[in-house]
Amino acid sequence: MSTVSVQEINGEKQKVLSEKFLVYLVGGLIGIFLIIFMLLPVGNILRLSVTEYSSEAHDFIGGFTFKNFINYFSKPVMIQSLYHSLWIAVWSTIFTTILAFMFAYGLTRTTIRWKKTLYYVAMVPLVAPSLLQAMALISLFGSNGLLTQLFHLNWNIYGANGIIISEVLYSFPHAMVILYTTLSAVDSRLDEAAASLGAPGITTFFKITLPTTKYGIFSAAALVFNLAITDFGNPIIIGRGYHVLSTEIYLQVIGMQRFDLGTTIAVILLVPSLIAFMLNYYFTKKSNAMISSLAKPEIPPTRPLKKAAFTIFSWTIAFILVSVLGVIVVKSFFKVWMYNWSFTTSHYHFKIPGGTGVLWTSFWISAIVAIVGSLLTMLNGYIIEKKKPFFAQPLYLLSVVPAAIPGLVMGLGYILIFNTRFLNLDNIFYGKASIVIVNVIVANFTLGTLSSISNMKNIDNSMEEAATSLGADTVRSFVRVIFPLNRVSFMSNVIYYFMRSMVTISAVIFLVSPDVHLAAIAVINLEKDGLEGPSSAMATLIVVVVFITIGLLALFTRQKKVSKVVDIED
Amino acid sequence: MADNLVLEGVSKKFGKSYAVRNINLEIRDGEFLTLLGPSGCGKTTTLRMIAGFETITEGTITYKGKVLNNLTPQQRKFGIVFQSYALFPHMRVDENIAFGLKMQKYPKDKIDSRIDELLGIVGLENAKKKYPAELSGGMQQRVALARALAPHPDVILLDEPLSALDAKIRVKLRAEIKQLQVKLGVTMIYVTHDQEEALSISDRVVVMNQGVIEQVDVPVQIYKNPKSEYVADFVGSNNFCEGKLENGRLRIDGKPYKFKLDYDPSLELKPVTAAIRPERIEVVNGVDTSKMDPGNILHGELLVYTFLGLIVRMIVDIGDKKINVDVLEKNFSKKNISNGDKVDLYLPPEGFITFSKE
Repeated sequence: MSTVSVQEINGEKQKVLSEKFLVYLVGGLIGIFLIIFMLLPVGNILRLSVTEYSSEAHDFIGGFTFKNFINYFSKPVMIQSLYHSLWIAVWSTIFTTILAFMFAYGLTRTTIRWKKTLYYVAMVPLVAPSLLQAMALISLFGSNGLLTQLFHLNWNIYGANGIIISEVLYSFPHAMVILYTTLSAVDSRLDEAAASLGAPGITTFFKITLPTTKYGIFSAAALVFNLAITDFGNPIIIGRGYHVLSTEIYLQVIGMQRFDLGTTIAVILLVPSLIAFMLNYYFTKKSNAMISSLAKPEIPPTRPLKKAAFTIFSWTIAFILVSVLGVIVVKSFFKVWMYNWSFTTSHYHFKIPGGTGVLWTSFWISAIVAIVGSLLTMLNGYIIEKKKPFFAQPLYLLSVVPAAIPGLVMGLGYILIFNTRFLNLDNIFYGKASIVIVNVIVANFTLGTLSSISNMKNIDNSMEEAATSLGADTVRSFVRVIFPLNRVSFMSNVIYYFMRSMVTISAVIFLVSPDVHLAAIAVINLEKDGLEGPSSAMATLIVVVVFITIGLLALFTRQKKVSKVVDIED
Repeated sequence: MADNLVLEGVSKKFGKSYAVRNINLEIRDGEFLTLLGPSGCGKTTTLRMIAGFETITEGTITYKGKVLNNLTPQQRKFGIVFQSYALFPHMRVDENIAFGLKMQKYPKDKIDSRIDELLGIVGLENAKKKYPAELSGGMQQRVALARALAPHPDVILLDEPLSALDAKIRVKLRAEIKQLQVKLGVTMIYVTHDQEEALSISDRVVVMNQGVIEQVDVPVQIYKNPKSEYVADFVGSNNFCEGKLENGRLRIDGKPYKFKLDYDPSLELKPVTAAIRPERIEVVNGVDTSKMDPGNILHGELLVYTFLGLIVRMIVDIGDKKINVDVLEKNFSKKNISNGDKVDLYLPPEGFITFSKE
């Protein structure tokens, strides 16, 4: 081996420094990005909520005051929205958690058939905006609903009950995924051990199954609570006079230009949503700690009666979830639902600003969101988990907070800060597609980063050390080793971001402008205008676009099948 | 400089506690050196400091006179074989081997010929286009070895490379690694917690305990002349007893034993721990013991015996203590003893090793 010259060593040293610099630079930029587009807009809302407002000038006139909060809490009509929100959130949480648990239990602990199909059917609500449930319920059970008329039902779907049912249907997959993971990860041999010690099935369930999965259950419940209390689409459609916090924010801001009340209610909504998020986070950690990595034993055949019960239950749920979607699709092809049952495609000729183009706008915005969001969150996960710079902890914190902030609050934060001369960003953001893109990326930053981190954790450190010892620098080991190993999780992040971006309402409802029309917002506007045919048509198109895109991406990502060879060597 | 790699006063601190403390070691060119010790003894940390994955808190590591402390792993250009293999799962075997060559910008034709050469060396010509997941653990570890060898490193660092494999493959592969090392003349630093593995393949063994070196020596000396009670206990098995040396004998407080044994005269009247290996103890049932020192003969009862193949391990109860005795299986059969039988043991004076308690 030749001796290395001093110059060479200096050169190498600089390379090391520049590699460290690169990590700091990228991590720092992501941090600054989150500060500008998450912390500051939300902080600004907190500030404005305690700022004096002039309802004549429709503007904040400075001066610290608690008047806005006093105003809110002194008006019984206002305070009602808080009660309403808590009421629907609590009941949605209870129903969803129980139903999702039973569904997940059937999929993981019984021998019912068609499990994969059932699992995917349970995911269906994810591909539609969260107002589809309300639309479907009204079409079936509204005063002029199909089933109401058919069976001469005499009930009222509008208001709290309608919202609760909608939220259950909407949040079902979110809870189901968590419970499915928990139930399949907690060692089911514990149940077998209890059974072998003579415990009857019911005892085993209450003494073993429930306690071992309780953190997963709590974490699912907290998530549902968060989803239900922050949802905007369903309550605005089916609530009628029943106002919740999110709809109240919207009505105050858009309807009455009362930014003071808007920001105040936003802060009030932020509190339960933050608490629910923190609980969810805490219980998820606890739940993960109980996960056993042992190989799963075969599930013994379920008793016929139990099997039949779970089969009927699962397919009933699946049927309902598909029906919600199906009703809207079918509805979009009838001239006038309940009155004129002739087939038509006329609802697909949209007479709205932007026309069918809104779908295209949503698509390309979502495509950008998907690619940029997935790349950013992957880099973020890599830096936090593998590179661990000194600011890894604060960066992690900044990255997980977005999930705690209701979309509506974030959206309100954006318009309130980017309609000012703040950092001169108004030129490129105000009323532009860019503000929507950034907003959706930030709003969904948490899940992207967390999934990236957990994926990075699964990549053995020695993998990168091997690359390093063979002479690869940070950039090359990232491009040639880390990125390829993350391909699958990267693609699932792309799908997630795309889906969220296509269907989100609450995050962007304040951000659409005469120049930027989005499909999901078009659905809500059409529906509010009573144009139920076109709104169903637009919702159908969103679902179709999401399905096709996911299908194509999934085809792309398909893993190469690796055959295990019989080993003759050893 | 004859010494390939020199560690001088090397320490590693994690927080306030030392993981490795004041390591001084010279590794010779072409040597097979093993770091041996239980988990947490600092052997892997030491290896990782040599590799460049851990910073060095104190001391220096030099390679051919050049200080390595501030060089990155890339700059040190050592080959590393990981316990988990760390093969890139998305690359074929040939691509894995080529990785280091590409990073060092070898020309294409040289890369191709080097891949074939290495596959020949590790005997995996047929696996060239396979993915790691298609190979058995043993084959994967050979690929990892080939990948580490590819860019012609002078030193190969191996971190428990065989511990994830089945016992049989482990023995086979360790012999192969040794042969390869001799053939290529490459320096290997090998980390293991398996003392049998360490003794069987190393030129020298470094026994580590709680971050410090207990002994550095050739395998046979490590086994025969352990320098500390710790080494005597960790390498092979031993029977221990504590007592005081007096007039050529070991006396144990409150016990009737007066073992005659050989010891360093400077230990006279000092408290010591004496050790004797199970295979040094003889079973003397029905043997003429007149020439043996009666103080070194013990009478006991066979509690249980275990068949270990070539030898039989007997556990003999001598009243207040249980003693391990290893005898050749054929001798054991001849004696015709069974569990519960009376056994007479002879502990030859030269079989004892003593360690000062001070």
